[in-house]
Parts: sequence; C-alpha cells; structure tokens
Amino acid sequence: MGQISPENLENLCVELFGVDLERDRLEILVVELQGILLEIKKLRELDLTDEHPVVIFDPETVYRNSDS
Amino acid sequence: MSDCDVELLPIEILASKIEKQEITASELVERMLGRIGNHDSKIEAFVRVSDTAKAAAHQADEDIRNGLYRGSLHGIPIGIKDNYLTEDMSTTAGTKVPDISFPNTDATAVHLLREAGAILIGKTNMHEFAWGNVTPPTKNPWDRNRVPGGSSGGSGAAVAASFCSAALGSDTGGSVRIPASLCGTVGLKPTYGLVSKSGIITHSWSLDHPGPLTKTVTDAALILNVLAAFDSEDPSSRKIAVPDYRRSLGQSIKDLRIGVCRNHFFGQNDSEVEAAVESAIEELTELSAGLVEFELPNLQYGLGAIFTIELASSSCYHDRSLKAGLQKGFQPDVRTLVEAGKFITATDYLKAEQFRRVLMRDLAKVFESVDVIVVPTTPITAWELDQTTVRIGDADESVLAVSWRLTYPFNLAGLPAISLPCGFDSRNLPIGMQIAGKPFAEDVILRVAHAYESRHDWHHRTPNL
Repeated sequence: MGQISPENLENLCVELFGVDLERDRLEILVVELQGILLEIKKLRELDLTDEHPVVIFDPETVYRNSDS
Repeated sequence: MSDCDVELLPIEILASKIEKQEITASELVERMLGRIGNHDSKIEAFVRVSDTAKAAAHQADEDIRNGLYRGSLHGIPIGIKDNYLTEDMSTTAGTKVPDISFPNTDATAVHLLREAGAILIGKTNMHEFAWGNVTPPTKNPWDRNRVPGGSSGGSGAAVAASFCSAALGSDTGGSVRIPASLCGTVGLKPTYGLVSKSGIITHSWSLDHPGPLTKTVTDAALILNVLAAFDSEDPSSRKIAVPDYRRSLGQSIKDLRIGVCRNHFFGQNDSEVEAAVESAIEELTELSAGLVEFELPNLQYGLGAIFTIELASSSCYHDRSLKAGLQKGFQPDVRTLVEAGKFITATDYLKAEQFRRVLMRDLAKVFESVDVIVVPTTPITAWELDQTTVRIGDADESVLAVSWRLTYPFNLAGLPAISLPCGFDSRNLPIGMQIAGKPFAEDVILRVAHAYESRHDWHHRTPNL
C-alpha cells in the first residue's frame, strides 16, 4: 500500500472498518457525542487484563431444546 | 371511591371481584375503553387500542361462567409496550419509518398473559426503539406539561391514568423504573433471564429486561408469577424454580439488612427527592435488621460501560437499516445514537463486558452484608416537556443524562430492582424509591417494597385527568 491521502483514508475507513457514514454525519456525531465518548475514554484507562468479560462462549447452546 | 371508580382499583382487588362475578371482564374493559376514549387524547399513552379486547373479555366471562377461572389476571386489562410483538395488533417499536415492519405474532410474555386470561387492551407509546428517557408525545398524567419518562412512558402514563390495570415495559437502562418513578406507579425490572425477551424488539441483547408497571407491589408480584418462566426461544432465559411471589408479601422484614450506597446515588439529587428517600430509608431501617452504608467507587466507570454496550448493540441490531439508509428516517436523537455505535471498537466493547464482571463482583461483596439496596429511582421528578437541563446543587445538568444515573447500574449487573412511590414533591409530582436485590431475589425486594408500601397511601393517590 502506497501513500494514503486524506480522501483515501476516509474510503479505507469505510471499506476496512465499516464506518460507512457520510462526512457531515461524522462531524455531527463527533460533536454531539463528545460527552459519551469522554465517558468511554475514561473506561479505556482501566487495566482489566485479568478480568474475563461476562460474555461466555457456550458451544452447547444451540443443541439445547426446551426440555434440557 | 364509588362504583364508578372500579377501574382505579388494583388487580389484587379486581381479581377477587371478577372471580366472584361481582364485576365482569366485559364491564371492566368497557370502562377502561371509555376512560381511554375520554382522556387519552390529552395523555397520548396509547399508540393503538385493541379491536379484539371486547371479544376477549366476553370470552373471559364465558370461561368463568363455565368454571374455568385462570387466576389473578383473568379478565384484567393490560397495556403492552409497542415493542412487544402482538398477533392481533401491529407493532412499530415507536418508529414511523414505513420500510420497517415486524411480524404479527405474540411475544412470549404476551402469550403468557393471554394464557393467564389477561385482556390486552392496547399498545402503549414508547421512545423510538426504546432509545430514550422520554416518550413523545405522551404526557405525564400528574402534570400534562411534563414528561412521563421513558422509554416505557406510555405504559407508565396508562397505568397512572387508570387506562389499564397494569402494563408491560422494557428496561435497558431504567426504562421501566424511570416512568414508574415519574408517573407514581410501581415498576419492576426482574433479574436478567427470569422473564423471556423473545418477541420483544431488541435494543441491547444483554441489557434488555422485560417487566411490568403496576399500581401496587402486590400487582407486580401477580404479574411476575405469570411472566417468570423458562423459554427456550430466549438464549438468556434461565431455568430456575420460580416461587409464588405473592407468598412473601406481608411478612416481617426484621431479618433483612438494608444497604445504602452513599456514592453515586446520593448527593446529586433534587433536595425533595433526597429527603423523601432518606425518610423512607429511616423507616425501613426501623422495620428491619438495620442499616449498612457502603460505597461503590467503580461506578465512576459505569456510564462509559453501559453506553459502550448499548451503542454497539443498538448499531449492530439496526445494521440492516443502516445499510439501507433507513436511519435517516429515525428521530434525530435516535439516529445519532444508532449511528454512534459505529465508533465503538471491539476492544471498547469487551472492556465494558470486563468491567461488568468487576461491578458484579463489587455488588456480590456488598450483598454479603446486606439483603437489599435502597436508593432513589430518579434524581429528579418529572421535568417539563421542553426542558433540557436541570439545576442540581450548583450545576446545570442534562435531564436525559441525569434521569438514568441511578437505574443503569442494575442493568449492567442484571440485578432485580423495583421502583415504588415514596412521596410527592411540592409540585405534587411523584417521587420514586428503588429497591434492588441479589440475582433472582425478587421475593426479597417485593417483600421490602410491600412492607414500605403498606404503611403509606402514596399508591392510593390518583391524578386528576
């Protein structure tokens, strides 16, 4: 991959990251969501390396029927 | 109360009257429909009224005459939030986008209510896709210039206005308890997995909790008796032994310890709300084995965690609409939030789910020394329809940010929590108190709530329509 222009970067965001929002919407969202994004930023500061997320993969789940 | 006010009665009394055939389901439904016809143009609690309710009530009466009484909900009119699928009424989940439609089939909770003989009287208004703490255009029956809360605001307003004896809501960050608090009703968010979510339009898979809004704590127990059941159609449904929740009501709470979390839940509330809840805590302390105060410092990360999960889940659920550009037809606030999920990284999401375990463990530690946690439900009473900020202490805060601050921690942890009235402020607006418990300890929180409720007449007060 060669040099990436700002326009290409936008396109790459759409293609690779699925953030397929129009530029004007992106600007609106960033402004309106600042408060929320700052709360999420605070969460990122936590070191939770040793915590298992509450999401637990259960390979049996689709094999269960109403009686099990 | 005269005979004309029978529709104001709680289910616990109506059920006895229906069973003894002192009143028929048809009469009750006629009265409720009449009340809706006379007053709902002012409140706008319902998005549609059932065409089949009268026929269902007639059948309920016929069944009783034939000796087939189905129990406490037989013939009782119940409103259904418009994000529960219903076979005989269309579902919109609050959206007006014409290209989005939902099947005409019964959600599991709706099916269970029908099996119990309840009459589904109509679908109640809600914030679009349950994404908000207000419910335009619904007004609060206590003051029509004020919001009923949300997102189950239609259900809260309908119960407060006695348009139905109870209503179903759904609670992702407080959407049952907030309207209950603001409208002066009881609102119960059961433990995650106790009541099936199957057939309810998803907002956030791991945060959504179906639950009832009722006039009394006993009525909440009666409805939970019907709704609490394993459902193989809901992957999160838990198969547990379900008790008769009514049995614990009326028992002493002398053996129970009252916990109060002093950070996060106190100190940033309207002074009248804080005073009413402190007074209720004092009273519960005298009735119980005593008060235990504690703090949960990690709650400072809670808002980031719930937003992360809720935004990502909502964006994922609406992926089909986003791809088709249908979100352009959503309400502006909902569109923003649904699109915002695109900003949440997988790392953020998993960190939020890691944080959840931290919070759950913190709460489990607290529950080693307390049986219930008592806090306010909302920091403020119902705010004005066009109000966007509220002054608490020295700071102006967004009403929407403030309104769910005290409810969402129990969604993150999946714990049962009930809101019930604990007073009225100087503007005659209801104040709500919240009682939370350990997983599947609905019997305990209902018992404490009932012990408080039975010493007051808050639940007998009704708004003038």
